Amino acid sequence: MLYRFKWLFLPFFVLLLSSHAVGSINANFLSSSMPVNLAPAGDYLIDPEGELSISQIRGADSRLPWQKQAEEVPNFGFSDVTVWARYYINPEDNRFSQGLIEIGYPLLDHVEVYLFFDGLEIKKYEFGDEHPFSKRPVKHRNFIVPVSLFENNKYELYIKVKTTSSLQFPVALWDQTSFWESDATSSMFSALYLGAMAVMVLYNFALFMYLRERAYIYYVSLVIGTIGFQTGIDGYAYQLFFPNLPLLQSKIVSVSITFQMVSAILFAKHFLSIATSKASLLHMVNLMFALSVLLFCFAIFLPYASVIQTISVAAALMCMIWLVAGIYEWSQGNRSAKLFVLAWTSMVVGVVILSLNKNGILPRLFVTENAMVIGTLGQVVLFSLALASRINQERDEKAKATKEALVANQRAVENLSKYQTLYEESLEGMFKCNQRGEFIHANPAMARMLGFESVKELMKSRFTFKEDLFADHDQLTMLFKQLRDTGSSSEFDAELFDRNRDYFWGALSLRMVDNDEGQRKYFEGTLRDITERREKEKAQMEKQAAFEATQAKSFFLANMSHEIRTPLTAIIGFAESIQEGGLSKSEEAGYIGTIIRSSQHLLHVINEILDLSKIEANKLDVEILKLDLFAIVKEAQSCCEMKAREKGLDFNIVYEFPLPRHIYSDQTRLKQVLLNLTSNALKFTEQGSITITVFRKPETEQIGFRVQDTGIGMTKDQQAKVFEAFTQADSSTTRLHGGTGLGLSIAKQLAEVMGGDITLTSELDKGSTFEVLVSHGDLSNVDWVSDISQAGVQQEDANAPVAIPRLQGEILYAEDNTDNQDLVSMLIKPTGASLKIVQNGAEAMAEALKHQYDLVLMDIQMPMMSGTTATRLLRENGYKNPIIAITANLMDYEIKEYLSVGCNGYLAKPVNKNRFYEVLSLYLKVAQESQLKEVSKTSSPQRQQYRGTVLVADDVEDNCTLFASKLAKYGVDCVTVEDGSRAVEEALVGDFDLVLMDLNMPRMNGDEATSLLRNSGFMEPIVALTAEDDSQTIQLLLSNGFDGHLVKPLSEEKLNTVLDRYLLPAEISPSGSAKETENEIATDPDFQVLIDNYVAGLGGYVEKLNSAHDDNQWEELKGLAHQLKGSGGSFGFNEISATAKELEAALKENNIAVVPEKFLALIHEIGAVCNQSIDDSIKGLG
Amino acid sequence: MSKPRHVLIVDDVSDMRSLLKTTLYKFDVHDIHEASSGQKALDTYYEHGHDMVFLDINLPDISGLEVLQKLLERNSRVHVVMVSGEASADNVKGALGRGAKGFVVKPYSPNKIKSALDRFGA
Repeated sequence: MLYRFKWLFLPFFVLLLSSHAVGSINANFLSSSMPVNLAPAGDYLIDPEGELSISQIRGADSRLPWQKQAEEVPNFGFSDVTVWARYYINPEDNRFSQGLIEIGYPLLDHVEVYLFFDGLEIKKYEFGDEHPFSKRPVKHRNFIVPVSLFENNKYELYIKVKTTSSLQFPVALWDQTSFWESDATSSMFSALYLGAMAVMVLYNFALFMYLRERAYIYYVSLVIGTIGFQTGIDGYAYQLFFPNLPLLQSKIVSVSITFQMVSAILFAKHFLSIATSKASLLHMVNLMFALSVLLFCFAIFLPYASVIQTISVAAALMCMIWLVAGIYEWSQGNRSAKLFVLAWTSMVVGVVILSLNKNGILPRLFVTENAMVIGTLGQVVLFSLALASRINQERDEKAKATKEALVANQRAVENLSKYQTLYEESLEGMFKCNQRGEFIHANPAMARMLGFESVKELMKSRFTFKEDLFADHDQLTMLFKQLRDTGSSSEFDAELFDRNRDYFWGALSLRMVDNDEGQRKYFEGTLRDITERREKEKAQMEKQAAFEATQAKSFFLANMSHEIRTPLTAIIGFAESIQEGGLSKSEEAGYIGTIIRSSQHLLHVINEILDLSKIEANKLDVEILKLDLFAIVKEAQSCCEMKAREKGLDFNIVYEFPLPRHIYSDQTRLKQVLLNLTSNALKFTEQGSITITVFRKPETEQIGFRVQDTGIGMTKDQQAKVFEAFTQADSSTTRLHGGTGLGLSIAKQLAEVMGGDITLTSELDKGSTFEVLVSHGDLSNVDWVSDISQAGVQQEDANAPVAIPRLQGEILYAEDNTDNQDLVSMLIKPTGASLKIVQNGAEAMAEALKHQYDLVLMDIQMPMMSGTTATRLLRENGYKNPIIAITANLMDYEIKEYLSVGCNGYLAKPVNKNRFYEVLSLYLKVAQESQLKEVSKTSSPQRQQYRGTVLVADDVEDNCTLFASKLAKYGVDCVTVEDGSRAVEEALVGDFDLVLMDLNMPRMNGDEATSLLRNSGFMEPIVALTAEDDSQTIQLLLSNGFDGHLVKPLSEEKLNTVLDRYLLPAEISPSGSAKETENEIATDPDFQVLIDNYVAGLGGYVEKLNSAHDDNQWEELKGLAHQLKGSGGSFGFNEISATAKELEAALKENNIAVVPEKFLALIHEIGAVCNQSIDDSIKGLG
Repeated sequence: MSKPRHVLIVDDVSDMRSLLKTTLYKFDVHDIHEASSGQKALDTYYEHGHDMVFLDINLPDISGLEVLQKLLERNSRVHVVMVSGEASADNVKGALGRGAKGFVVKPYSPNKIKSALDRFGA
């Protein structure tokens, strides 16, 4: 592209560079005007090799291709050849007797001048830019040779020129006077020019120093470049600045011009703000700039010609660009751009005029000759003006901006002070931190929160956000992760430290702050102290947790209570039925079966509770003994297989052989766990199978049992809870499937104690698999079983009927509980041993010391003196015979205590028959058949009969029925209601002698009902039916208006006591009590009058009733019924009240269908009363 | 045990008033006024300032409970026994909650009246 336009620019600049001659030569040789241009008269020879010598040139004259040159100034362009010029000079006068030959082009590297007169060499000079300036015969920027040419003499002048710059040599002949005159003029002009330039440089440099505006230094550079170039090509530089450094002279032009180019680009670029406003141009300008800088750097090394040629093209291009860009700026209203354009125009015009002059189009005048110099001078001046204008412009803009900034600043300050107050006085902490977490800003609240006296103190301290603030480093990590991900984080609650490392809770809101370069250098935010709120929440949560724990315990207790009472109810109920007698044999057997089953279940429940409490108290010990693995499995199998088959389930046992026959573990506990899991599986499986897999896990030395069922399975939630005590997987399940909900919790903990665990996998509706692992101990001395045939086990038959031993001896039994007394005597009687029963420890001690018994059975918990104390005292008194503790208190430490005080052994309550007889046999002699005694029968006691009506309030229907039947046996009438509010109503309406009030009832509980009754004036005794009988509960009951309490399950004896206290015996007729008063009043003549009046008024009621009924005036009828209900009974006519009440009720319920019937009944009753009255009157009359 | 000196009987049925009056006579209470409606009851009370009131709940004009409230507003220490044919626990609770000192259910035996008298001052 550039190359294509080369022809366009090249001549233009070649011209610019080549055609600069100070001296000019007239065409008319030897004309009178000075100087005489020798060029047209010259012949020129190109010596490409440059090897020809002057003698060869002269000698071989005819053979050499001398040529004429058409131009006024011979020009050979950039060529690397040597050029010879030959002039024949023949002066017509003596003008040149003191003459000068001037070669008016100072850039020639090597010049040789030869002058011949009459074939003789009279002058020879050798000089040029390659030679030191001092060697020149005349110290002038051009090459000057002094000659003395006389009239009519023939001279030959040879000039040899060789140079790397463009090769041209204007040669002129001067007389010395004219030359120096002319030279003085041009020197003065040059001096003026240089002076002006220097002034521009100095002035603008000063401006730069003052204003620090880069445009000035670019401008200064540009001017310096121009000076360098101009003085370089004019030769002044060599003459004046470095006459002895020819090397510098050879490079000054190319260095200057490239420097000038670089400066011009920088200047223009800056001036026109190319970088910011003309992005499209920037690319090209930058390219040019890079090229110029490159050229500048290598100007010394590159050949002169190529530097100049390249710069010429670039300069032309740049010049165009600046003009276009400047004109564009100008059109945009930039005043300084006008001057910029003019400056470039000035230079371009200078160049154009000069070139036109050189081409002879313009006349050769001083102005046209020096157009270039004038152009550049104009350019420099105009640039300077442009700069000044621009600076002014900028200053105006700056002033304007400053003013605006001032206004904005003022406004900002106002805002700031507003926010400053907010910031300073905010209750929330506000802060800014750097990336390291050091505080950069903080407000007083922030400092305060962190325990600092002032913000200053915080800033001075080494307390950082990242190192010191967070109590929990994880929270910090979390916060910053959030911050990194989203750039902000709000209301992040964290536990924090202040400077004293005191905890507080804070809510942090943070955001990242970017700096100007978009880097995240800071974060800022707010901090709020939420300790108070947190603590409230915490307290709330603790309260909630405590509440939940209490709830769970209450639920557990309620459930336990239920679990214990349920079997007890059956036990007591059926036992009593049997006691009553009159049952068939099969009925009785069935009842007994139920009693035993229920008792066993009860025992099981209690054992589980005990286990649990032991586990909870960390008191559970395991007894690791050698035990038969297969026997254990067999036992679980025998226990469950039948039940499984009954339910239609498959029951499988899979052994993964080889298995050890014996393992070391706790037999009882292991069995318990296994049974629990199997019975659990059984409970929840309705179809399919139950499989027990026995396996060994050698790597952990454990034996495992996998109990797999195809039952209802569990949800994930249920699975999570299934091993938790107190919290049941689902309480409704417990209701449905029975059990305490503790079994699995216990089993798991047992397994853990035995060095293992229970794990569960389950899927809802698919079934569950429980896997229990327990450590099997050292197996080095046990047999191994490798198939099922070897796995046979002998099994004890637990269900075999107990053989009663025949015994001989005397037994003392200390026991306060009559039931237990009865039980033990019942057990001992068939053995034939004799039995003495005492009520407490003290009696036992006295009895035993009086008479040596063969065996003492000692209850532990007894009034007066406990069994342990009695035993200890007996032993201390030298009592030697065996003493057996018989007790329900079976905690390990308790058993240890019994043995330590001197018991020989212990029997657990409830008494296991087998074990009982076993112990007896151990300590007593086995008797002969003949020694057995007859057993006498005891007769059942006669039951006391009472008078009165009892109100029983209990929500359990069975209990009501039970009470009714029991009370009936005492001859007592009984009304039962199912809740507290009914009890209130009934008690107020009816006439009761005693109320038995259950405490836990729906709608209204016993407490509230009693309190209501007491407040409304109910005076009869109210006895609470309770489950607890601790003194605190009783105290509370009494203060609430109860007269006494009965503990459930109901004991016959206690009931009897209560009845005895509050009711009259049947044989005693009522007297002296409230009933008496009543009778008295009823027969009082005053009342008789009232009654008579009332009866007389009843006729009126009948009329009113009839009319209301006939007219369907239901409200009226209801009102009447209500009145009669209230009054009838009050006057002694209870039937009227009763029927009126029924009618009122029917009307209230809108049960119109039965109204006529009730209505008639009431009318009938009233009629009956009236008739009776009439009869009585008649009798009275009679 | 103290006895009430001035008693007010409030019931719209005259027979019932007579019966109660006679019963009270029997228990040695003689200074008795009667009122057959709520308004009359209040008027009488304001005039005489009784120390005990037997107050029927079902009155023709104002509800007995409202009368109770007004009586107590006048004198918070007056001993009011509510008398009603409705013995539902809610009814009882309502009356006692408003400050009645007793609750007698119709039909009543003299015994119940005695109980109520016995509790006077309690």
